[in-house]
Amino acid sequence: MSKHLTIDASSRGGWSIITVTGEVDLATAPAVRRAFEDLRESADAVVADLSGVSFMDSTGLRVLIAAHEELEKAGGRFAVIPGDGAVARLLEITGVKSHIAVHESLGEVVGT
Amino acid sequence: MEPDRGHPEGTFTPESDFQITVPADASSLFYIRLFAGAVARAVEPVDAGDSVLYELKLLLTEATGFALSDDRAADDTVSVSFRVAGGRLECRIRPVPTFGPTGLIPDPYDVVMTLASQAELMGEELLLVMQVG
Repeated sequence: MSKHLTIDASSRGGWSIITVTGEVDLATAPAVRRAFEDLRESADAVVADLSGVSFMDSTGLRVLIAAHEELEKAGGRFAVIPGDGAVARLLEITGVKSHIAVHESLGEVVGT
Repeated sequence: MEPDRGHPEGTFTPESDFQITVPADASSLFYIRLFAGAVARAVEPVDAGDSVLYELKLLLTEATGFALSDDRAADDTVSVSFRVAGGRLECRIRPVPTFGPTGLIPDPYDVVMTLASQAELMGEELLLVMQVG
């Protein structure tokens, strides 16, 4: 994995949690995509915690959209926690915000 | 006479472009952003708040992607130069052989056109202008 990106997987309250920290772009997005693919067979509820992402471009957003569409097609649930920085701004700029279930905190999704 | 190197807490106006040349590889995008952030923070009159910095880095990352999308030789490079003039930050990326809608969702072309006040392909050089003052 790139030194500019870390990805952690965990689970809580019936949700699989992918926590991404660092920068997501053309170079690092494939690692994020693989993290979602690794959960494809085992998880029907996935939340991407991106509150620690300091940069994301359209490549990263396409990975999220693909993961969302795939889970939805399989009858699963997908949620995103963009935080209040780069990812939130990207969602605004691209207008994709209305297509993904966005939440303010992990607790809001999985319960405390 | 010793040249005036300015005050460490001040800002300065460059008399020439800042330029970075990197391998035409996706892993270079990180270094272009790092360089752009350093230039934006240092140069007057850029108001380099977090939001402006992110948008500048996003603009450059999306635009430079057009230089990386074609088959390139392993020793190919991409250059990005910056010039500040009257509240405008001009960025020139070269070479960019093609620039236009991609059909992807979201489309990097749309992101560039949203963030740049001017985006124009001039030969194989992409000129981007961002209002920063």
